[in-house]
Amino acid sequence: MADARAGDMEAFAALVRRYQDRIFTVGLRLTRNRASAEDAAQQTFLQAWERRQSYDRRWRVSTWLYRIVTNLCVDEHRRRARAAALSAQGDHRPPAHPHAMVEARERRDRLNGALGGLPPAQRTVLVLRYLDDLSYDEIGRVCGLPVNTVKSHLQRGKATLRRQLVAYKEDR
Amino acid sequence: MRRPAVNPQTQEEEEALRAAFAPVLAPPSLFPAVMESVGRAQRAHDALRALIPRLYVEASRNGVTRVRLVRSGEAPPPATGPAARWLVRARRELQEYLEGRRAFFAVPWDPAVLGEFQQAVLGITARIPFGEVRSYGWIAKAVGDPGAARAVGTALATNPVPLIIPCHRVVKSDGTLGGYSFPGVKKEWLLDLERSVTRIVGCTSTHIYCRRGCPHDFRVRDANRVSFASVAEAKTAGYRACLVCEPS
Repeated sequence: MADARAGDMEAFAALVRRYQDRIFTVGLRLTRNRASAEDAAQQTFLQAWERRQSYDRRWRVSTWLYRIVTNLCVDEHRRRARAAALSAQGDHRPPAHPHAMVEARERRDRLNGALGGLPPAQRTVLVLRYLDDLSYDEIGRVCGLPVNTVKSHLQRGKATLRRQLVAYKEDR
Repeated sequence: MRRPAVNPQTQEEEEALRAAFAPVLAPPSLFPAVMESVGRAQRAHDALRALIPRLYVEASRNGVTRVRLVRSGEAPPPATGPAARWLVRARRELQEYLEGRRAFFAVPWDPAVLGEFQQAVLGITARIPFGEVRSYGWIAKAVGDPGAARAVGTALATNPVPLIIPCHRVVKSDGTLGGYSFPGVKKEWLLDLERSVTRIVGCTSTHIYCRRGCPHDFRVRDANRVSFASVAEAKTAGYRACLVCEPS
């Protein structure tokens, strides 16, 4: 990151290669749409490059990138919520995947669907926790939340997911 | 941090969550798209930096009267007389702005030679916050003549102090950018630059937040400087506003 900060394009390219999958995944889990996730990831790296001077060395690079991508997705969510409220018919849930045949994939889709029902803050906290094992402290930094709020979001989010997944099992 | 002991069922659930949230591969188009946009941004920033030696500033005793570009190599006017301090300050602030180290202009501008309407238009334009945009129609309404969007465009096109009065922050209401008459400069370069610069910075030792470019900001050591997305964020972090640049 030090080289990227100095404006070394190759160092930055290496950074993009290293983090692109994780950043894209966060985008995907938060927006639940591949095109939006790709947009968000691209914007994240562009902002990271442009704001490289303000990168705070006490943060891990991943933490900093997560912060940018989650902010972008939350903004995007707000914009869409507003647009949906205006048109009163905007359904921003993507359609269920037609080829969800494999069990693992089905479980992931189900989870994605369940995630969609959570408030954005809980969703973000869960994604960060389970995607990259971030500590409560780091999640707090990314989301700008106190550690205790992170814990309660995590508990509540998990409880909701558990309920929905149990309900699904009973349906079968 | 040590994880607390968990019962097997919770453990299973944690594993399931971790598996479900495992990273997926980014599409192959992402990397080239990122590098392309970063390259474009970098070229724009380089182009803006290249303007610095070509800036030609004129001033009266009341403030800056003109900012324009000259061919590189042409000597800037000597800074003497009552206007000297404005010339020096304006050049320094313009340089910092174009280098992405300043989010506001403190140097005054002198509207004396302008017509009443243009003064009003430029006065409103000068108050559009850094990093934001307004439409020609919005300015027309703000000066009390809602039908005058075109006249606003003309008044801005002959803005004698571009950059300091941010006429580049005025765009068309259909979302396109509209014209920009500062030769060799693209409106989107400036808007992209402003989007990329942090507006609010704080000092971790004093817990004071400033606008980027405030004299206090320049005294903060890099290791102590933090950026905030907004004043609200700085406040929630327990910082107080600087009394010099009065960020709002």
